[in-house]
Amino acid sequence: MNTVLRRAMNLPVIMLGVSAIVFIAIHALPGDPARLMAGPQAPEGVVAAIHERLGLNQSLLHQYGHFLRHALQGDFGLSLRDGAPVGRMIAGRLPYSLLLGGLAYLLAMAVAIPGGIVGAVCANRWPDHLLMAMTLLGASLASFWVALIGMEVFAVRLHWLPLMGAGDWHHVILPVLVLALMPSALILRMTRTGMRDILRQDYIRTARAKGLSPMTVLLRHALRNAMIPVVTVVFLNLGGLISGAIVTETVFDWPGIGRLLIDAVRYRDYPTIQAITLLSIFGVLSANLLAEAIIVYLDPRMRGHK
Amino acid sequence: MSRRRLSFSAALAATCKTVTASAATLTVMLAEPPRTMDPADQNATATRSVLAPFYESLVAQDEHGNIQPALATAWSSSPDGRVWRFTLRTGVFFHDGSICDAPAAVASLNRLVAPDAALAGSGIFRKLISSVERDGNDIVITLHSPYADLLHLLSQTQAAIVSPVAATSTLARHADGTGPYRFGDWQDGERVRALRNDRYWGDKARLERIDWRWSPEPSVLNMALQTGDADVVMPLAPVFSHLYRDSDVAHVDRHPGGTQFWVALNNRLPPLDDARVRRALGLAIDRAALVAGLLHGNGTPACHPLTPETPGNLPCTPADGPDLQRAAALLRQAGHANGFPATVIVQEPEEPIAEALQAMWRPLGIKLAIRRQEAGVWMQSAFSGPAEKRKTGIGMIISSWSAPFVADLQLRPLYASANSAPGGANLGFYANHLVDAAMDQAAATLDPAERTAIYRTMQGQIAQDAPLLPLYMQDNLYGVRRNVHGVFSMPDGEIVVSRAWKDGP
Repeated sequence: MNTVLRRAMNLPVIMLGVSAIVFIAIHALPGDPARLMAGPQAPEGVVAAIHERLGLNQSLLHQYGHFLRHALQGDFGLSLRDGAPVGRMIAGRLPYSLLLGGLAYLLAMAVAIPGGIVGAVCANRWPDHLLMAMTLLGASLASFWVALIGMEVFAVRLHWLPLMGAGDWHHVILPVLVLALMPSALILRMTRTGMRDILRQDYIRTARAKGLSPMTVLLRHALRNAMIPVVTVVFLNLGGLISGAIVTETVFDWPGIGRLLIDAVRYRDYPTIQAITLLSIFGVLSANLLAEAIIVYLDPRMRGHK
Repeated sequence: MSRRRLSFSAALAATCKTVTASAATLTVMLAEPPRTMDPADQNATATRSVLAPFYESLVAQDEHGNIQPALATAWSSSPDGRVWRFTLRTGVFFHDGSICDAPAAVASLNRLVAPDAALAGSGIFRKLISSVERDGNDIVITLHSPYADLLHLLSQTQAAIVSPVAATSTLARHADGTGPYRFGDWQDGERVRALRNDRYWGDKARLERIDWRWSPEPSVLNMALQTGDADVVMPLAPVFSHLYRDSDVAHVDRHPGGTQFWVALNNRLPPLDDARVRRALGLAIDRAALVAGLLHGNGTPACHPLTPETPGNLPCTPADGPDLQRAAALLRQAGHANGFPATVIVQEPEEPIAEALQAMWRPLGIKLAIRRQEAGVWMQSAFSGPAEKRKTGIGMIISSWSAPFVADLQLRPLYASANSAPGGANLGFYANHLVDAAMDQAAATLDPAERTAIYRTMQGQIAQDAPLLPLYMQDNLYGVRRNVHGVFSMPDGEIVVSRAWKDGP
């Protein structure tokens, strides 16, 4: 656990470095928020006045210092677009994104881990071929396209599900299915490959020779070790979940932070982009730490590793 | 102050049934969210649509461009057209309960024209209006110089009269005007809700509320109309219009649009600095084919700056092309018999226009390179100055412009030399002092016939110079459910629903 703790303690330093990089990168984006707000017909005087109002006429260093001072106190400033506090906007949107992402990952794992086991046990027979074809499809189809087809079939033609928005639990089904598609394909393949490798190991042969039931061998001895690379992939893929959420939330009119980010980028709303980007990076780094902790738990050889 | 909705778990527990549309609620879906609730701080058509039911100006414009009384009941101007007097309606209240009297209206207009106003919509007002003062229950507006289109300008949403209390603090997030609907809430990323204003001075609205929603994806807008998630969608992509030909669910309304699409040519970058080359490009464009192919017929070819609803407009004639032989002859005269390479910058929606022009100009030997850019990047490139454009080789920019009924606002931003980029929207740096002078003369001419004559002559001069190439006006297509009535669109694409009503559920 020492490694995990040490890395956790490095997190604030990493975040500080990342915040500077993100700040510079965002301000280097071509496009002027004041011009985007004022529109093409606004004279230069109005654009300059908006610059001043938003504090964009200050030096970049001054702006960064201001941002950092306030961010450390949990204040991410006001949206350039409408003056709303960014922290409050994100706090309002985050539960929606976490719900969508969490359910999508739960669904992905619930489908993919048993699927991977079946694939490994029935390797190169028809269930395996079928599963592999499905994962190929799942990984290849653009989520945007799948979302539109899903909406057309289940909402427009069959009227089984609502088209969009976030009213009640019916609204969750389609976006979660779409968002789960890619991770489930990935997890299924990883589980299958891991399980296949492990089922060929000597200790599995020994366990079988000892007369343990096939289920016990599979779930207690093989799955635990096969999960180590899967956990790594699942957590490392959280960044992919964020980009998937941007598309899914936009198409389904889902009020999460993915959609907020897209709107913020469109209007060069620097404080909002900064806050969401930093939050996402923090989320991914924390997830990596968590992945390490889980791996250490799953693999006793990692314990006490300096 | 808008309050964020509860966490999702609470929302789930609270709403165990889908919100069903009722005759009391109209749901309107747009392509983009509103940018603010402050009418003076925006310039976007979608935002204006959302704000219109909340606010009123001194005068209003009907769908034909006729000026009607609104918060002002009467008005007059001095003989020289510089001083305008408006008599304010009495018994009008803002949604916050405060009275809309002369001091409030003066404060609202002064906020817009203040020299240091950092409001996105203040530009033209600041330039034009020298003072706004109160005289009893009248408002007196004095102009720097006469401006014949003042009433049209004052009817714009930017000039809406806002509550002086809200103007100093909450207006960006909480609309506060005198309109037939009052602000309900604005849930980020979800919707804006307008509720009927029962204290409205005029005929009360027939709906209890209007919900505004949005999606950038045209197919989602179309599906929302089909499922009933939206009662009105604006715009409906032309490609979907045929779906509603015999539909008993919804119909498509088509209104001639006042938004003109054009290609700005860099008048300072060879060989586009030669008017013969620019005219040749214009002659090689088959505008009818653009309308048929890109808009499925939902538009009108444009060959001159003014749009059909504006007095003084000129329609396309056979002399405007397409005529490849004349175009080739002009290019030969200009020393470019074999054509030349050029670069155009576009945003994604306009990319098909660039591809069509690429094909139309190919027979002349013109190799058009298309650079597609994201909105913010495009804005930066399009508004760069001559040196920057020369460095990056930007010869052409495709965009659109809309200023319904107001000739001066259609012409001046795009053609006046004083508005050359980066300070204005004259993106190709056109400069002709005859055109500049004619523009000023027309703006100050109060006699409509005289103004129209000036605009016609001026457009002849512009056609000779061909500083930018008008392409077409796109019709406004919007979908309306069959049980919805009283919806119409303005030429610039603003959807007007303040007087709408619904039958049945």
